[in-house]
Amino acid sequence: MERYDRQLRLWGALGQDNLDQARVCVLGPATPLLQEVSKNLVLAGISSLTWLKEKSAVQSGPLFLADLKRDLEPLTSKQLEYEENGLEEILMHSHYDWSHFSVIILTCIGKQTTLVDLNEVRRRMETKFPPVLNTSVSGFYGYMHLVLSETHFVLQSHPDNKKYDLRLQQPWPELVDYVDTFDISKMDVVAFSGIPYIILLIKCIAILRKSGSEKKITSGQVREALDQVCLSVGENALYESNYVEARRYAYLACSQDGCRKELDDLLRTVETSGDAHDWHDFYNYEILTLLLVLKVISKGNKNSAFEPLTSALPDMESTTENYIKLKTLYEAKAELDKSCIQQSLICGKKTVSKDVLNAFCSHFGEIRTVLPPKDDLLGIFNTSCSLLSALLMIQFQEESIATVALKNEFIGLHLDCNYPVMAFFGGAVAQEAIKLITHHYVPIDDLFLYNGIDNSSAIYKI
Amino acid sequence: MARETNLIKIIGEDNFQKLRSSKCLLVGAGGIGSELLKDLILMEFGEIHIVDLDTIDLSNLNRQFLFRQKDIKQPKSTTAVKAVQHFNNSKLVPYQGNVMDTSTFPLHWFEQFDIIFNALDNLAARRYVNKMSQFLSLPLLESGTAGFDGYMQPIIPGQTECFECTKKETPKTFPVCTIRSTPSQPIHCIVWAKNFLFNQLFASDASTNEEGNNDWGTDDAEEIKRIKQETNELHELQKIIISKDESRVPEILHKLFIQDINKLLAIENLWKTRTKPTPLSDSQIRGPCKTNKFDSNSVGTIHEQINHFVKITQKLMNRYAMEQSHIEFDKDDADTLEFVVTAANIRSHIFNIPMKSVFDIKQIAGNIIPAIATTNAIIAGLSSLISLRVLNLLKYAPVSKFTDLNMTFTAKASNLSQNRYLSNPKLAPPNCNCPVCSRVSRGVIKLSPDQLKKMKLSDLIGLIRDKYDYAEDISLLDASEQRLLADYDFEDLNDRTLFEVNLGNGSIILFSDEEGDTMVRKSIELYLDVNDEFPDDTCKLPDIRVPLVKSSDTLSNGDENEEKEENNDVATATDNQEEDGIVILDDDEGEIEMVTGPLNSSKKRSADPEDLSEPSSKRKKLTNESASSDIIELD
Repeated sequence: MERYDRQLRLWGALGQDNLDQARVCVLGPATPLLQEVSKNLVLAGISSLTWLKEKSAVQSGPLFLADLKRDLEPLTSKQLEYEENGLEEILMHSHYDWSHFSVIILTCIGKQTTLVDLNEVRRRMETKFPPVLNTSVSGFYGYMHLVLSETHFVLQSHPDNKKYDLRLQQPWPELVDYVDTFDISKMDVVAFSGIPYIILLIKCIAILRKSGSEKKITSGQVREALDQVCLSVGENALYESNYVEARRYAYLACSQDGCRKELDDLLRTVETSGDAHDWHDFYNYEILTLLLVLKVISKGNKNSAFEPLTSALPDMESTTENYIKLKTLYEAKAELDKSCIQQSLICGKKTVSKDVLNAFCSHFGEIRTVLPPKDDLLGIFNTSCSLLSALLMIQFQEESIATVALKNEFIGLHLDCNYPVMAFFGGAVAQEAIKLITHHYVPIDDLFLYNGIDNSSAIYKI
Repeated sequence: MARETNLIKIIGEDNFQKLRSSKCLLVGAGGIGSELLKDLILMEFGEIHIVDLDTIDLSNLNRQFLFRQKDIKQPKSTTAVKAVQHFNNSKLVPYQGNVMDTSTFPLHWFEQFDIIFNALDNLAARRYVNKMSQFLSLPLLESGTAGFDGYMQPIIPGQTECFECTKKETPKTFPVCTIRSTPSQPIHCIVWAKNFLFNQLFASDASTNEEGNNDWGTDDAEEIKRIKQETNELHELQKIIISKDESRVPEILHKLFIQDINKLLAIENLWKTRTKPTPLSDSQIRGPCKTNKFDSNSVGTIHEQINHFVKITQKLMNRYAMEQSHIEFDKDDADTLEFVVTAANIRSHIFNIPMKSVFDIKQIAGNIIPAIATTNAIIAGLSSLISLRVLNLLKYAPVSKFTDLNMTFTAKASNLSQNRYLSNPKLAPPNCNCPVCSRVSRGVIKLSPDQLKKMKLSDLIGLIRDKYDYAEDISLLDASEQRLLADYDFEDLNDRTLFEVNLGNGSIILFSDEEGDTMVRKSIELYLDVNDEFPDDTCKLPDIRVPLVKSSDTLSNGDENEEKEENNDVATATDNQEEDGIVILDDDEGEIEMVTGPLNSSKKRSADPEDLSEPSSKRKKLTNESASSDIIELD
């Protein structure tokens, strides 16, 4: 694993395991883009690469790998399974097994019929068809389009800022008992200064609730209550760092609206994860199964939402003793929640791998979904975006009158191969493929456009 | 290898000829470096010179695609050049060396290039190359990545911001007291184990100076006294290592984890608001010594940690004797890593801090920055593409002013759903307070070796004063070492020759007006280019105009202090890199830190949940993550 040490730090051992088993199919003529994508994925550690080669009359531009198979093999420590086939023949082959690929990447496809044919296969296979990344580059511009066939779940989306699940509003009984052991009014400043802000905030909420504040609690109210509580220790308490922290994080104690609207919508309509065999990616099936288990538990709890506690506690001002006690409480509750899910899985006669369950419980707040598009692979043709239509026109060699008009708008579009732009796209496309394979980080949804003149970019939903 | 070139179509025949005759310098042949080398070759740059100090390591191979298993321990620069021969059509010149080494790479060596590409992994070298680019007015393409994050910034001297125009995050430091007496987080114990304990036992010459301007982080005289005494006692421990007597390892355990902890416990002031540490017990130390292999992802019990500590200390003891009494900590040296892991974890256990796995500690102790091929490919692609515009080779996208160009950041991967894949702010003009590109004038003094040996410091001062019309009261600083050479009440060196005051080729001196009340002559920074090809009487000052600028006493004082402080920081960072090899990171490129908002924004701990609600400013400034994640004990 030493070889992958630097990237393991981005997606962990499980993410690397997924890459280890990943089978990638690249489609298209021999172009620098295809080579760059393949190189980047083989470096990341995929196990198998299949190239379905499109014959092309167009000159491809400089290739740095003379022989794809021979030159890619040394880039990985394991035996790379490599296959090369003619694209046209495979598309005529009605029993070709597309579903065993983890992801399919179309690079600079030259014939529109290829897209049409592949789209037909995708339609027939329904959710069993792998995710498709369709990409093409011309001159200083390029696009990348993600077409999913089933809902893609991201378990660890790695948000910029970790949100801690502290349950300030709904402390569980053991936590309430612990909070109650602190009688702040009888404390001196030294003892006060060792109380974690979490405890101060839970006390504040309890006070506000007692005084009949049923409505949404605001951070202003929390701060007021906080000052009252702390002043009972004395003026000096207001200079202690734990008070300062509590004030700063008062907003955490207020009602927060869930930011996972997509997920909630999905769960409202979906009742079953169905048969595992209907899923292309078993991982997605497992996550949905777990989400549905939460739904079942919530129903059993008189519809109060059940979410597993993640057990992570931020660093805070506190005596070590208080902090450790608090941490133990959070960990115990997280353990309990997890076993609750396990029980429910058993009752529902469902199985989910232990690793996925653990990751699910410890990263619950980070789950994101990307839904399959309403349209299909051909959706890009219904675009009103002028850059995309210009790119498609170049790609499929439709030299119509319109391109003349486009010339001034997009300088440097009519160029076969601009190596740096190909290299850039090779990186970007491989990166999205890695996100899909590892289920870490949220992939683009669903169209990415790039302008290399000023490095501007945009993401649209088709 | 002959091939039809596409670039002619892109930039036109005449500009293609310009490109074929241009020379570029690529500093770094690691992650971004290998990608850039490939891109520049395929763009058909005429001549590419590649400088890299490093050799190849196994953990490079997940992204540095020019290197193979069999190349491990070979120099990166020459190996990279060999690996690209089959598709190369440019003249390639590799150097294995440190770009900051003035004897191999004097200023006039840099002069031959048309453009510089930085693909570096450390702040010191980035700053240095930036300075060279400023001295010579050479365009510089600066870049870096960390995981999914990356940036690319064109720097056009005099026209756009230079690397130093925005403040770089300075290394994280911990007060001595936190590290030595009152750790509260795993990182405190890791710093203790690596920077302090390991160095004292295996990498020091047994004489460490603890005096001087230390940030003790405490005024408790008793505690400071104890820390000093403890250092002396550590020299005793080193003697055990030297003795090579394996049976004495439990003595080390006893001293570190019982005796020292008991001494700490005796200082009652420390434990008024803190939980007291619990020393190991004698039985724990004398327990049976059986070990099984460490799983790098789990933590294990305290007994396992102790057993491993004993075993690994014995092993290092024997290595110490065989390796000329000096072992450096290296995150890729499993033995040194295991020592730091076990020592840190035992200490954590004692102070009721959670223990960490080998994997986690390796990241912290080794300053490991995540790195992948894809981000490097993206950044190298952006950097090589914009070079066409920096060199103004694109006819249909001509550059009338360089502030029309864009720098580019790859947004955090997780933000993609928020429609930010790349952000591309336009380049800013130079920051008028930048200590490197704006606050001083700059030029090169050409000197013969003969003049260097003959000319007195006072002669040089006179020449500069006359040439640029400085007032009587001036100061002269050796800027490379922050050393005062002369000012109004320090003239002791004036009669020495330049050679005698240790100036030589590559020295940079700073000459400042100390007299003006309202208007002062701008300071001038001069690079000494000593070349034996110059005639013997050569002493040529640059023909530049040094303007008078407004001076406000209070303001300039404040600024001066700030500047000095910053320089000190740099010095600390650099020293530490050299001493502890903290910044060995073979992660070639690895470093960026996004700092949002005003520059003086207070440092927030990353653990702060508040950060999440902070709007990120539109224009993100980059600083160097290798610096920000440096762990430095102010010691």
